Amino acid sequence: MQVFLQTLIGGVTFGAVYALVAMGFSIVYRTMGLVNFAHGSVVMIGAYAASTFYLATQLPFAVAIIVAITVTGLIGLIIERFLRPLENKDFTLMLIGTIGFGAVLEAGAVLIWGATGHAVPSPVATGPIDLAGIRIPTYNLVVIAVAAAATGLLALFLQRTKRGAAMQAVAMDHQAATAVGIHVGRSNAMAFAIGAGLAALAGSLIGPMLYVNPTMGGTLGIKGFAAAMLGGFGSMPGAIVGGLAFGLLDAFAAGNFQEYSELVTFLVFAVIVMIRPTGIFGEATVNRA
Amino acid sequence: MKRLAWLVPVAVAAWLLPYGLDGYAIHVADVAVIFAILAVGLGLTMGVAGQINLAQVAFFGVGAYAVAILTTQAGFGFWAAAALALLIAMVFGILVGIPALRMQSHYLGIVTLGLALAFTNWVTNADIAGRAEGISDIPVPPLFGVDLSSGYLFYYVELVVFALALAFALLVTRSPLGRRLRAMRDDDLAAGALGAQIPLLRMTAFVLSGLYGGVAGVLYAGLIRFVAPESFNIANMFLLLAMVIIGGRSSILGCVVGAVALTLLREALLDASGYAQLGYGLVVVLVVVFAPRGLAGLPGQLRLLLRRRRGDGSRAQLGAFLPYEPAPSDAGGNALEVRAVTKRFTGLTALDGVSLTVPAGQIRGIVGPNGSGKTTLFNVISGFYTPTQGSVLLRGQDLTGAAPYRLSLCGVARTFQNLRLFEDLSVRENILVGLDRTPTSWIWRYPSLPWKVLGYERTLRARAGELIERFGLADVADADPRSLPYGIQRRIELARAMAMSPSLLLLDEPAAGLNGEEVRQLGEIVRSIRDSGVTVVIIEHNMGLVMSLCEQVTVLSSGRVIADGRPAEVAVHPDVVAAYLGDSMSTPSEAAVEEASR
Amino acid sequence: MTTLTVEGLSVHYGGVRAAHDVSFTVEPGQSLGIIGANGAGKTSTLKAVMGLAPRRATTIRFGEHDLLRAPAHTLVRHGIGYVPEGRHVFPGLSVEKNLLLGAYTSSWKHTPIEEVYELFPVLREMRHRLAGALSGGQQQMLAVGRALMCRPQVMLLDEPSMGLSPILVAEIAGVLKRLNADGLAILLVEQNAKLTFDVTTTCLVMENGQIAATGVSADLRNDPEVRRIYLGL
Repeated sequence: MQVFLQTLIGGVTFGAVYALVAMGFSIVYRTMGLVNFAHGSVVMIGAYAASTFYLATQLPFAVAIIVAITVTGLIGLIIERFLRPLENKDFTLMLIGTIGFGAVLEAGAVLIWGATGHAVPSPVATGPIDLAGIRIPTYNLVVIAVAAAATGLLALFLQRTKRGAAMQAVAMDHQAATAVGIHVGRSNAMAFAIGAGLAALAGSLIGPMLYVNPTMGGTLGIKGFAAAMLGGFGSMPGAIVGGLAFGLLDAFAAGNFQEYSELVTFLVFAVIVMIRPTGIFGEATVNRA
Repeated sequence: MKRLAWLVPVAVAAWLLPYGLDGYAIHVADVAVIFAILAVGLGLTMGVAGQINLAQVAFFGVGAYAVAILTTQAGFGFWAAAALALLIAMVFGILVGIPALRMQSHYLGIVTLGLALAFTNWVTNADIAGRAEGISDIPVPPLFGVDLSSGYLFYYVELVVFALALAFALLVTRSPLGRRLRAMRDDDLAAGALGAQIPLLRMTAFVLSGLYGGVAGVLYAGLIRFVAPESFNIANMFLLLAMVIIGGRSSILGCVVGAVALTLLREALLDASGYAQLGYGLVVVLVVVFAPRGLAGLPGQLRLLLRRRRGDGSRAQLGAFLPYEPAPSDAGGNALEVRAVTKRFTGLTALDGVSLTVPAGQIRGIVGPNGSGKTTLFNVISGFYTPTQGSVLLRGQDLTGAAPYRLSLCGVARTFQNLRLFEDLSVRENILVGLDRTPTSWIWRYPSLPWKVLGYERTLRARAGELIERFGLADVADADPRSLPYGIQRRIELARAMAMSPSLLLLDEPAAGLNGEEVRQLGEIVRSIRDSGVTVVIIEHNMGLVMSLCEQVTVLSSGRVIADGRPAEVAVHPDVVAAYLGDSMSTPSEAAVEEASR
Repeated sequence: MTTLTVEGLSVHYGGVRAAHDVSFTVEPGQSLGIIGANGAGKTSTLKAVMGLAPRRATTIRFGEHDLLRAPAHTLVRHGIGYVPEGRHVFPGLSVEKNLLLGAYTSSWKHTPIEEVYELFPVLREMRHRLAGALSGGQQQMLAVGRALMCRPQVMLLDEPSMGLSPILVAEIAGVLKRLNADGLAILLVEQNAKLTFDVTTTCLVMENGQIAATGVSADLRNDPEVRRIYLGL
């Protein structure tokens, strides 16, 4: 039981991060029909930006996160501008183009930060909380809380603001959105920037739990992508549920199959999506391929 | 065959190449050939068949590891292990390909990528695979006393294997199977309606992918005689992808060029690998945005640009249609019988107890306002939808719910309202796809009886030539259908449908977008088609055409048959007048219905 | 008051000619109808005016605004409301959000939402429901209501009768007549000729992408030419 709960906490923590990555995928996908395979690399850049700033300036980690979000948000805008010709076009090309962009970001990280990577000390000094024999690292709670807060803010933005509503309208019907006066290109760019910002947040948060290195984006991106798919591509609640589900799957696979966890995780994932290709909540936009 | 003449000097040059290379350079050449084989395999699956397969590098790994494990731990000889390794790689290909039956594009990409990661995870941790250290001491492949530990001699083994692999890939792409694969990539619905069995074709693509990955893996094991996980990681998958994209994914030769070029480039930039990766990434992005067909597509792009610059005004012309020899309809009886068919989508009833009987040799019109269920009816008859209730009989045989490819092979041909020509195939190839009536199981002949395939291809080409003449398409036969005026595209689709030698032809709004003269020609063609013994059912909004062409007209409204009879009777039927001029109680549009059903 | 002027408008999709050399004007407060069979080019014409379809034209003006150069998303600011074919409400947003988005270019503090609710009381009842959950008729009312939210001077409607029962068609007709009587200019594209004759004073008949006939709506009602175009007789 104790092991079970311990694994649960770990799974939820990583799940919260996967959910952030998956939400980033989804918000871009639903507004512009772009599957962004470079998203994982943006997460990696975010992790580097936050940790480098944190280690160099010794300013609070929260400031580092904000810096990272700004940096990747800008990178997001650049990528969007570059890939705009591919939006709503041939899925295969788009996919390969974004993979290419991912490689560029990864190579850039190697050139800037070197190939070896660095460890990030936990920004929370307090020791783990002991709860009925389960040791919960305080930083895990911080990660879960921050991820939840970010999700709440995003929901608030989409539900309560005019720009958020406009972004959703573009996702549902871009012609009708144009007809009511929404500038679709601007809305898309903003969606991309938000997606990149979410990636940076995820990267910043996961940095202290993992070793920050240039190839971390690949695995995180694939896992976030898988989480988005599990929940239902393009659906925001799906991204959250899918992220948590994937985090738990990952944690329990690691607990029970040790070094073979990745093998088990991806086999189980393949079987699940075979049974239900559109995920738990179904695909949120019409397949435009 | 003349078009392949340039291969001779290339082959001679490849044969003489080792004489000019030092020991290290020949090793690089050996690796380049292996990557070229891998790239050909990826080109076949992804470029030709359109299956996003990001596990190609894992197939490569399966081949190499299988040889390593079987030789070092199970005591197999190298070649026995190699044969088994190929088999294992193909089985692995099938397993990884199974998800393709349920999902496509980015979904398939992520699942195959996940499975590739699962493979690397296994080899890094399994004792049998030597964990992170990998397996060394793979024996030198014996070959009648030839010492294959020499990179020079191994090169010749590779060259022979590569030539065979390339020849087989070219055979596949330039034959009916390759055309079906490309048709499936362009538009799987239309390919199904033309007789392509989509699931089996997708699996074929993955088997080929596994085979080429396996071959490359076997050669790799024989060349390096050491396998370790990092040779098969995601970074190498990306490199392979870059090769195929930069070379041109739908051109096999382009893939080879891309593979050789990038292997050499990687060698040249070995000391600056960070910049090298930055370079590949940028080039891939640029290629995707500006030259989606890669290096292989550049000549075509340039030609198009030049033609536009010159403002080549020579508009393609349709020739005259040469009527078919009249032949009596093969039998009396009913060509098509629709019995009380109901089709419901979530919340919508698109067809509500529709019955109609079309006697053999008739031209039947189906008309009705927007959203009355006409296209849904066609989709039921041609197997795209399974009716909720009711049945569909063709010449008395109940074929309700049969898959489109089966109905196609049973003699049902159709055209589509919004034209579904295969855009990446030339006009001739579009017609060739229609002409190929072989069941998919025929693919066994490709490896076993390749000369039969070539013979069949020749007869198909001869028949395609006849059809092109008959439909007056000689001027445009080798053009890209997208570049042609709409009227010609309509004619091509009709020719493609007739290439299937159907007994029942379904035409969905064939006159839409045609001008007066084209509509008149269409009427003549359809009449001639009927006179040759084909039953025709036609959905059309051009009432002038319907009135003059059809012997009997069925009127649908709100998914029900509201009138059925000779055109002149139907046109004055009060319900029909009301349905057309207003006061209609109609259901949501068909487009909405189809959207809801997805 | 402003006049919508369209001259020499052609629409091509790839190699397909959907409309050719179409010209018309909609005077302030006028109601103009465009009827024709399926595929005659009506919807393409309307979309092209809105800048949502590839177009060529000598003139598309609305008062002093040159719409040929204006990006599609700016049209609504000049007072042009558009009700697309097939309604195209935003299915995953609430009715109220849909309406508010109609006033996207103006402040959400002062919108004519109350007037819209007055016109379509059913929308007020349903205002918290998702638009996708409404019936076809309600969605049509929502689409019209959304277009009204920008306080338009002219409203372009594309097949508002599609998929509606005769009662609902009559209701829509009533609403359009009322709006027109209040001074809103209307350009109505319809396959349903009867509805169009009811609502409009002048009518164009399109065939094969071109204007085949023009006339006073009341006269066209019994015109044999119109019957020929529709029924092929």
